[in-house]
Amino acid sequence: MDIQFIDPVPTVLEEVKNVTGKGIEFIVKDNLTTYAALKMARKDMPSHLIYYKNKHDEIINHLIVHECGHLFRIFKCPENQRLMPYSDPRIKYKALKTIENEITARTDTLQEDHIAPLIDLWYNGLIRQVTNLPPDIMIEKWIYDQFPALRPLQLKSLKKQHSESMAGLTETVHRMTPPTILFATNVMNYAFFRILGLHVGRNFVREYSSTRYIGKGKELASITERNYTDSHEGDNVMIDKWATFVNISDWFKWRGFEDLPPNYLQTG
Amino acid sequence: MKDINYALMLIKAHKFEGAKDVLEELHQSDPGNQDILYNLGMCHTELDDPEKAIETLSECIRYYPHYSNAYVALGFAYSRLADDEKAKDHFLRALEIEPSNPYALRNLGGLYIKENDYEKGIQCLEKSFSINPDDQQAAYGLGYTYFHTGKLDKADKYFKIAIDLDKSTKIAGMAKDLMREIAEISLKAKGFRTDAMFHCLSALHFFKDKTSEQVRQIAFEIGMKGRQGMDVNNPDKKYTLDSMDGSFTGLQLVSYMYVGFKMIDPKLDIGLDLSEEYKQAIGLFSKEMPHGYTIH
Repeated sequence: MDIQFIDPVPTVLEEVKNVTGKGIEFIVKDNLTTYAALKMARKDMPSHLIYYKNKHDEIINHLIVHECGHLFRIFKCPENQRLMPYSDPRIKYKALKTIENEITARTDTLQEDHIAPLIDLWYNGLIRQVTNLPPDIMIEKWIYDQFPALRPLQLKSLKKQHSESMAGLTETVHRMTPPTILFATNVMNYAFFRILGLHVGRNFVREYSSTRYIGKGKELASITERNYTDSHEGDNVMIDKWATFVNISDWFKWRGFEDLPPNYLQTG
Repeated sequence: MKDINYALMLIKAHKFEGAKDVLEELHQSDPGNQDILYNLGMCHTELDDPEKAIETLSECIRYYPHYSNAYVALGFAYSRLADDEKAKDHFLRALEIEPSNPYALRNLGGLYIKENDYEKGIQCLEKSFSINPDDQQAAYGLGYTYFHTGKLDKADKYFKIAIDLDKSTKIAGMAKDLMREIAEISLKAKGFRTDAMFHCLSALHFFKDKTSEQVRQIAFEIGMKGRQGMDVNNPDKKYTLDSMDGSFTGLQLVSYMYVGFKMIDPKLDIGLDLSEEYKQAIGLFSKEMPHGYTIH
């Protein structure tokens, strides 16, 4: 199913070409966990790639503009100052070692072949969250302010994301998930939805009001609102602040964008 | 407005050019800032501009005459200019201010070793490493010094530590190379190895019915394992492979690897010498007949 672009998406795509010097190629990839994912072009690539799911709905237009938002932020930064978060088996091993007891307590009732995929899911999910949510806040604010025509789709997309994040508050997930991961994910979700909710005029955090995440979530939101420099550099400094705040600062490292391995993928 | 935290992130990611640009911008609006001056000086050194580094770091110690790390950085910049005298002066000055500065100790240790004063060098490096056991350079420096003073067990120990600290660095690669040399020395220290000859013979039999691709896979897997260090003199230490069933001693695996690579490319330099043992094994292998008789 081809993507039906709506205004202002074609204009934004054209602006990507002007700012970055490269266009975007769209490629179907059905095993994505989201509707769309971006692979920003490196020096030797002729274009940026946006992978998308064949079966999607109209909110893909919002997601495409969101991915373009990442491109604009990164390309405004001088090439020799672009950093991307990354992990490798050693970093991951050290990270998981810090919560080894928590993992053991939660996996001893699982079948053996379910354990490794579950641990992967926890680790990768948390890293994706901490490295994406801060810049996502700024990009969503930008979309709301610059593209009023996209607000209905943006709201639909945020509601979808919100409903997915509610899984973190369920009894089942509480029972299954290591406390460090559970706490981090819910505090970050709270901060994200509080800031954006205030910006777009919606209360996305009602469900957190009687939870133990609200105090730390408000604190993280306040740090974010007070100290955020609106740039790629600012994104990375804020990602580090978030990671320190939820005690996972050694769970990933930074590397120059051109130094990343070939199978990098920016998801968003 | 740029943020010094971002400059520090760039430095940690080894993006020194980018960090220098950010720090230069910050320096314009905050010229007497200790962290900016120090890190900018370090960037200049990393970018092979030691003169600029000296200028910046000298400014740093004018503002902050008791900042020991700035003296270390200055010493390092002078060493890049091959002015070891001035380098040593600055490391010693750093240690006057802060006797347990691990970087001053490490760098001073390096200078002593360069002067062939191994005793003083090791003293400095051991002290540095005890203060900062995550310092890969100190671990490698100790391994290197012990290697060159014939203390191979200690060298092996510190090279392993250096590799474990961060496998991805150039230093880790250098440590692996020297560990292979140690393995080679250990292997040949006992002269002709009859046990290795029999392992080579066993390998010849094992590989005889294998395709070249299978042989290659096994030899490469052993090679990769060997890069993490393999004890060829300890028959009680066993290793396993994905590509072969069972568990094997280090000497067995090294022999199999040697034979495997010889089969793939006889001219390949594997980095260890089992040529005599292999030659004898070939001689025995070719004498055997399908029915198991040998011809005299």
